[in-house]
Amino acid sequence: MSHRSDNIGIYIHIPFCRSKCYYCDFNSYAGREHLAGSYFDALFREITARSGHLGDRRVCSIFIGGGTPSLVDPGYITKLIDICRSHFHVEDDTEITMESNPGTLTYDKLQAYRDAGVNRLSIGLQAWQDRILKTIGRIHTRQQFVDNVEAAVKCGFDNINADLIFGLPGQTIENWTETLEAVSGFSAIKHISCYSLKIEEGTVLGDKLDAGMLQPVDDELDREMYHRAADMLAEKGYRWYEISNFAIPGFECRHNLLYWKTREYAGFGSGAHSYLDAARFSNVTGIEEYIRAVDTVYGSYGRDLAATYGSNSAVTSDNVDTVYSGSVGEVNSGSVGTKNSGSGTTVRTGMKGCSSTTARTGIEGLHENFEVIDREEAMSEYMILGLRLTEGVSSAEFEERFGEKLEGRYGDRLEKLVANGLLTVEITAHEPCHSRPVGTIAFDPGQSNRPVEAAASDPGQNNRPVGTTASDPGLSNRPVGTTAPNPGCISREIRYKLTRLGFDLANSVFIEFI
Amino acid sequence: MSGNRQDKIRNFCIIAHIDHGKSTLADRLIQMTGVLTEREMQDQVLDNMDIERERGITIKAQAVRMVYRGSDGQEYILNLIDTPGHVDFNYEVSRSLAACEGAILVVDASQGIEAQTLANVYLALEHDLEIIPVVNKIDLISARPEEIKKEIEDVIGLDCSEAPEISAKNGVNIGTVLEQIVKHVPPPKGSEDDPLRALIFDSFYDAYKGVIVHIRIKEGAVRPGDTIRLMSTGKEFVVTDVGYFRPGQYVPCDALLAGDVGYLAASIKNVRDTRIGDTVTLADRPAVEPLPGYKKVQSMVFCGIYPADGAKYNDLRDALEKLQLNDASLTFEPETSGALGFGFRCGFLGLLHMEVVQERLEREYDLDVVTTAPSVIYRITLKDGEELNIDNPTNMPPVVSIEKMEEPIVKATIMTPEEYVGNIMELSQERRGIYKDMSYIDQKRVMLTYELPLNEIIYDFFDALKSRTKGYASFDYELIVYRESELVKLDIMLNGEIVDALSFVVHKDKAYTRGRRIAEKLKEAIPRQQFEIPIQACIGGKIIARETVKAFRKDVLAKCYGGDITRKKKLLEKQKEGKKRMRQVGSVEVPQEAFMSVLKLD
Repeated sequence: MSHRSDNIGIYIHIPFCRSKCYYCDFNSYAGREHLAGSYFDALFREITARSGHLGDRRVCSIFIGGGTPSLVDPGYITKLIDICRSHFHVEDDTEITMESNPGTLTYDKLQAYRDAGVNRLSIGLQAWQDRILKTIGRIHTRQQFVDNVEAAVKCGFDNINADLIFGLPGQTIENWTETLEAVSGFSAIKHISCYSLKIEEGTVLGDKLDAGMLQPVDDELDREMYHRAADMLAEKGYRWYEISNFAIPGFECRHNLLYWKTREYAGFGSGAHSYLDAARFSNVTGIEEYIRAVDTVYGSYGRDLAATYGSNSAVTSDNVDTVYSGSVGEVNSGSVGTKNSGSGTTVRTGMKGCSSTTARTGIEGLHENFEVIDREEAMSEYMILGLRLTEGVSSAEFEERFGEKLEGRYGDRLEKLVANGLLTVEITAHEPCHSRPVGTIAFDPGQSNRPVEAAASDPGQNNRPVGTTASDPGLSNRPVGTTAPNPGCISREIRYKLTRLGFDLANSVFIEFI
Repeated sequence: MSGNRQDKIRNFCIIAHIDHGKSTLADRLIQMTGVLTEREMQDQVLDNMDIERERGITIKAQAVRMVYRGSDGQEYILNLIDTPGHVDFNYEVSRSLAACEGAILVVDASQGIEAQTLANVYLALEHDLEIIPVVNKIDLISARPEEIKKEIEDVIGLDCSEAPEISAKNGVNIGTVLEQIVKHVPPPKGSEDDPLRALIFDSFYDAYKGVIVHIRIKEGAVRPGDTIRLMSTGKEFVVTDVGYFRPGQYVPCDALLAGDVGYLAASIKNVRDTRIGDTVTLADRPAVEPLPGYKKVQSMVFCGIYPADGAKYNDLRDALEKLQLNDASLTFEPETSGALGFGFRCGFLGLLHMEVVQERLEREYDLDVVTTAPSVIYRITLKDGEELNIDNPTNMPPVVSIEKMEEPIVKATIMTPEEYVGNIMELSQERRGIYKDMSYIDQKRVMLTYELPLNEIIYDFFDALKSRTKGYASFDYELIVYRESELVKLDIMLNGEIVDALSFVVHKDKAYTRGRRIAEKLKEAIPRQQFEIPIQACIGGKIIARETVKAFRKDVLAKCYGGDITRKKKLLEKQKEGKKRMRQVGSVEVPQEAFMSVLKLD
């Protein structure tokens, strides 16, 4: 079932990294910065060429991910956001996130991002201890992170995310507690992502594991760390809203919510994924491969537009590496190409756009993994992704979206999962559907130790993004489904949510809906 | 007239210990006689089945007809009937032998006489076959043909003065073998004017022709249009087609006459109508007595075979029926397991036979099956005097009602280089063996004789023997007697429930060790689940071993990289696929491999 979203997300992939982290199997490449010029040239052409395919959809989020977008010259980022503004319906309150890594940020760069319109900064910290950072191939220190955050605040960033990883080799519960304690102490850090390490084949850690040089963290400790994060962050006012994500209420990542709520998104750049017009597909991965594909598919189309910041003016890594490393307020010109550097971390969000005209196949040469999501598949994804959220999946919303009862479709499985203690059921009164914007997070004070009111009154957290409220961090301000069957009547709403055990064993839940 | 025709026919088989080169020699003979062009020649033409090719063993009897012009200028028809080499398949050897007048005995020039060499020679002698010894693999550096010939003369008592020294691999002296077949194998006897008596030695199912029966005509003749009668069942069919064999094909002819080896088709639809070993005669002029047939096959090892997917029960039955058609030693009947649902209790000649059948079901019939722990037939005398034969531990009566239990004992013959005698004695001791005899085959090689309980060798005896003798020992056994024994039924409980498919019978003194090992094995084989799973081994109500599969604590995907939902779904699909291969036993999901893992305990 095609579910066209009024508000969509834009994902843009920047695949450059200073070096490859030991756990990283994302579409990112070290030592290829000299290709940045031609890469952005291709990227601008792709955006220009495909922008028409999005029609009149409004963009509620732009996410510049990597790789390390903060590695390349900030001029590229400015240009990128400019091009997005001129080709898409970008709103004043559109969430614009950029990923970065400590060691690649400087005050000037941060100021440039801020000026370009970036209003959410994501920093890959991963761990607080320099010893651990070293063992996972990170090339920055804790101090660089601290300095970067402080500089970012000075530049006006008040909505910062920190990416953390737990279950790292050699990481103790004390290390993890210290990390959480430290990171949650920054008032500008409104969002914390905590990922359980998964050792992938083909990474340095994967090789070490195969060679028996690495003792993986056992599941008990991993879960202890996970639960510690949930408990500690709740105390600090971060609401647990998705398997791996915690936010001060109102600062949930709108972009990721698009994914969990199976809304549309368009991805640009190497390996970027798109979900448009009931089809999923991705761009080719690799830097040269992507550039070649764009050249082949679009030729010089859009080059005149993109040329204002063309490949010839590409900035080399030599003059990119001005590193902000001093204390707050100081700007030091760091030595070029020193150890201060970031690397690919955080979200590798790939997607790509697709036109309605090529919607059944994608664009040959550029798009891969084309998959049409039929009604059946859409329902399955709705469950698999929706259950990741602590608010769970609502029977009423399901019915609104698919015109079919949730229990009718999945009753047997829901019942079994509830019986096994993986899901809980919550029954509440349901407002008439037309008054409920699709995509909002329903705040349940019971889920957080800190009531919404308390959060709102907490000093230091009053710089909320324009247009969001504590109770509506949602993707859309526009109601959907204006023809509720019985306007005004209050019906029962049943919500299925993962239990804590369910969060630990989420896959066991999801496979029931595959 | 018929005497003259039969003078030009030689029906023979090749017997050998496994790996001594039987199939290679068969290939060479076929090549030399020109039945096949070089281009058509695949290595090991007679080994049709994938499993045979991969394991390098011949399982099914196969037949081929060759035309050979001898040094006397005469043209001879040579019918070669292939035989399997493994101890489990002696029965099939016996089938082949009954259709022949002679046998080529192939002995490896470096290894000499092995256990199955002897076993096969005894079988051939029982059938009064002329035996032609051949020393193979003279191309090997370690070949010692003269010593081996002496060994054959000393141990078996065959004259080796004329024994050809050959290399089947390199095609050396193959002509001599052909000449000796013509010279030494007696031509068939039997009048083609007598009433038809043909021995069924094999059969296959063909989708178009129905059952194709492989026969050796002892007396009489059969032609298309004749009405035949199968003497054991009395069922009658009209012959549509007769002919002889070429590798991989059936060649029709006008008639099969006394002395011939060939096939007949008669639109026989039901595979159960043609029993291997049965005698075919003509309805309008039947023979008085059937041929002796062969010794009725005795299944020695039993296990349950269940479809992994319960809905495939009927497919499994059809597949077993088709397998049974040319594997008469396979028996099966329906049974039900609390853990595994509906399946079949199957009887086999031995553990290898069991594995081969399982593999054929999976490969040739594309069925996923679960196999339970193998068992032998125990004889139980109840206190009220009733006697029971139990081939499934689940059917064991309560201990209190049992007066005595008996188990099958085999005579095991093991041949080995003398340096491993100590290891073998140790192994036999562990397996409750009783030493009987030891003799030297030559200066360095020894033949040991033991009496061993069959239930001690059906699990992993052969593997253990190989590993303790670096693969140099060979082994053969035959059932000799049932003997009273102190046996107990060992049950395995998962999460407090007995899993019938894992129960087995074991000697009282070994129950504790075996129970503990199985519990450990299962702990490895059963993946962590949502809750803690106790694994207990018990006898009666008494728990003798316990292990625990801890609850799994974590089953979460890494993050969703930038909307890459597809990758996430693929991972989940893979996980779901793995789950499908699990059996739900009570509340526990048990991988199919777990049922087999209890077999391999060393």
